Amino acid sequence: MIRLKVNGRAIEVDAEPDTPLLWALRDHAGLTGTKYGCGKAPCGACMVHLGGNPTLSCVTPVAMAAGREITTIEGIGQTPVGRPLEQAWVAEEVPQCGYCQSGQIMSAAALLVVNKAPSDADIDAAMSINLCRCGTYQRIRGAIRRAAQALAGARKS
Amino acid sequence: MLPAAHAETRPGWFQPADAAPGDFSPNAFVRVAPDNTVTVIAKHLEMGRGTWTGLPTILADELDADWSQIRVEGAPADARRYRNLLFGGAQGTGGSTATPNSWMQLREAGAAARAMLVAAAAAQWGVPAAEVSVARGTVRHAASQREASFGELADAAAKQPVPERVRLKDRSQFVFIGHAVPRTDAVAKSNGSALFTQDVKLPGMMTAMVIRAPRFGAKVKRFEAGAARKMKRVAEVVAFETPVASGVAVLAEDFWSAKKARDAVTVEWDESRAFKRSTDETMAKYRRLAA
Repeated sequence: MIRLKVNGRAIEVDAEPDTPLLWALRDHAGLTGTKYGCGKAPCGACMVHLGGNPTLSCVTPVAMAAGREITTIEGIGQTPVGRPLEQAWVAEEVPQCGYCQSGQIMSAAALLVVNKAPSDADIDAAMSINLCRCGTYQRIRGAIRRAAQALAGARKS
Repeated sequence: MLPAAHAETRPGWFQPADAAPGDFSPNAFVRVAPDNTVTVIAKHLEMGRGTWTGLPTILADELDADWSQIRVEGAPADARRYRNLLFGGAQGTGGSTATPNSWMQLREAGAAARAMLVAAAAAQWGVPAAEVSVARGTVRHAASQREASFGELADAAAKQPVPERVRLKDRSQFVFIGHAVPRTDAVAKSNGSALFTQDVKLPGMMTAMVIRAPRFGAKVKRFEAGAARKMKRVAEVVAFETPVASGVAVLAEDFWSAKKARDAVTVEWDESRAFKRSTDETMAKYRRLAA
């Protein structure tokens, strides 16, 4: 048994230590919001936060995540940055097929935690790991800007 | 007036949708619940084209529903009710057929539901049905200033006969068709709750990983899976052959167990009837043909 802390909740998974965190989440913890894209790190669909850092769960052994704070798409909406991001994603109607969007939101959340007012160049640099075959990139940019503005407004008031 | 159906040859979609007791479902594509939600049953998959938004606009428009009360649900596997009218008897999505084959069907389905809500209201209020109007999810009788929601009328509407013929709107009356409405799938696809094929888990379901032939037309001669079969959570390793492919499948309780076991299987291929022309040979042949 490997002990994990996912979205603030302590769980145990009966997985081999070399199992990628992605499959521990999907197959063992039943958290299917995190997606399997390429399994080799270049697509970003499996992005989660591990200890607060954006992490590709498909190439991260679950043993490395034991005892550390894991946040997935199922939990990011309860965070100060994740909530306005999800609202902005809906307002901008970012998703088409939606398969990559969990990973997109997780990368965007990691960006806004460290950069409250990202420029388009900042957004492009931070989001370049996440591929979208529907081509929703312009709306992703728009949603990140919208969420950043909402966060700035919330800080002023 | 358009013929919606004939009693002796009613199409399968005149059967109601799967519904809970108390729901009003006049046909396979719509269900009105007492809580005033209107669920449109989508017989086509949503794969990012907006199908689960576009199809409901067709039905909701003829029903004169309010967009906020619309929900969407995927149809069960049932070709009798949910066949693709352009695919013969088969239920399926593809070839840009979702909207064209659904167009009249969903309009008639919405109009039939609307007519039954109107008939129920007219009966309840003791007024002529022609004096009852519907707009944005509210059924009204202007002269007596009475109104009711779809949910309030669901029970009574369910007892009305399904009309044989329905009156459809003129396109100048469309409020959703041809107009922008919020996508129905945006929230679920922004919080991880949207269910994709890969997310479906059924009791006892296995994950299969496949070793495919390295060449078109190659077949499995023999395979060695002794080590793979001994691995944890592995159920079976089997060779398979279909008209188009031959290979070995590893079945396990979860993805990673299946993948590790697959990597431990070795396959010997019979390439006697396989396609072996190289890229260079193919290009040379192309040049000869094009010359």
